[in-house]
Amino acid sequence: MSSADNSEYSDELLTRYLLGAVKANESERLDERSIADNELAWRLDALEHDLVDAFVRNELSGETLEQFKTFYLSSPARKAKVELARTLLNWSEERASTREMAGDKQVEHAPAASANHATGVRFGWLQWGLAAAAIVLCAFAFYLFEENNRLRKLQNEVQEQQTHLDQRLQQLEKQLAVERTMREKTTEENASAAGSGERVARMVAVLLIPPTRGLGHMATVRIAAGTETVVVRMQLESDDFPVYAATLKDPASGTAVWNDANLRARSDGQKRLVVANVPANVLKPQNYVLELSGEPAQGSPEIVSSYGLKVVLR
Amino acid sequence: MAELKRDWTLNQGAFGRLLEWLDEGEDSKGERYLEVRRRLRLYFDRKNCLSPDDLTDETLNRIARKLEEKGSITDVSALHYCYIVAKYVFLENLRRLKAEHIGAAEDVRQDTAQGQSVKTESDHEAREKMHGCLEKCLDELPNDDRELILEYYRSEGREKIERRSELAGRLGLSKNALILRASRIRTRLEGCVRSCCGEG
Repeated sequence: MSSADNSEYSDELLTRYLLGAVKANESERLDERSIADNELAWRLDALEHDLVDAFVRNELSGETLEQFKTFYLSSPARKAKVELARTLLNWSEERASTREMAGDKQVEHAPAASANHATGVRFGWLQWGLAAAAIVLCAFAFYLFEENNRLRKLQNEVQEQQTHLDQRLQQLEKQLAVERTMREKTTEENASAAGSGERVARMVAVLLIPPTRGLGHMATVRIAAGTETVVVRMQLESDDFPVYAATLKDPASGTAVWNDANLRARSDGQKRLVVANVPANVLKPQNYVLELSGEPAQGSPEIVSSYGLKVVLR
Repeated sequence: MAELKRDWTLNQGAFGRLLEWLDEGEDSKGERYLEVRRRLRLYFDRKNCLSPDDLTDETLNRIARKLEEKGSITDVSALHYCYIVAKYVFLENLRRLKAEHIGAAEDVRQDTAQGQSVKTESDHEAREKMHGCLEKCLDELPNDDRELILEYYRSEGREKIERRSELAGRLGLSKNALILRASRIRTRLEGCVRSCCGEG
């Protein structure tokens, strides 16, 4: 996915476009890109949501508010968006306050009970002292509870990181073993091929660049007989995730023919790349789509890019 | 661009070819078609057309027809070609309205006035329905997406900014990636609510 702010258009200009307030030639260019340019289309969506939310929250003023009322609200479809935004924001606030209230009730339960009990009782020094001690104890218990939660969360995070590092270590060991075996094999075969004058490349590499403006670039990789691994270097538009997963798909059937996970981006000059080793024996002479997903620390994976790959046998 | 023949209708084969052409070599399982349809609808709506859905259908039908005639369209990208056809459809529609002596602005005014009278009658009912649809559509979202929407769209001003950067940090996303992710979930939600409320 592209970064949302690397465009030549400012948020201010795009907002004016959404309000029907840009010049005709600029409007036409943006019309075109709102359909043909994925990045701009998504950015316009995000800005439109913010604009509508600002209107619903009475945050618009002056000319912008006027344009919103005269242009934006002149379409029934756009009016429906405003209505939906109002409903969504209300729902969101209601849910949040319900949760906060539920949290507050739990915390307030003990002091409230002691306060009720004390009503109507004449407080002497002893009672005041006991009440103060109870409050201090409650506060201390609450602090311990919070601290306990925080430490438990921290422990979970450390465990997660440890697991991740273990997995990565195993993966690297596996990769190292494969590379060692391949190197040994290559040495042996080079030695035997030297007699017959043959020399076979066991690995081929291909660089895949991300598709831009909806135009998919199809990279070609030529595989000679005896090639074992195709090193695929996938260039990223932006490196937003800690790890990535790559899935090679047959576009005709949509089935995955190979995949690999826990891939980390690395630098190549100023570019960021994800590198995957695809076994050559899974590849046939045809077109493939290599789908790269970003895996956030929490939440579900998100497709970052799809690269076209054409395999040709030599 | 030649106008679509009146007797031509979109059949299963032509629709399949259109989906394949829009996919440009990857099988999106119809997702690309839905996204293109959504963008075309937004385009016609931003042009203040009275029937964005009809004009979107007209655009896609013309492309399907062209694909049937030519077999493929390869000189420009699929998305760019969609824009070119949409622009023709828009201009033709504008000319037709002028020829019929119906100013687009007047139509919009009439439409707005009609909308307002209907609104007073069934405003409450429509809001209730939308609320119900929103609940239903939110239930259909994956848990993570629902929680993200809840966090992302609450609060105002400075608190909103702080909450969003905290959320981005927690999810391991950049600020821009979070903006796009939240916006995509909301766009999906809007589509679901629209079809639930029977607005196509």
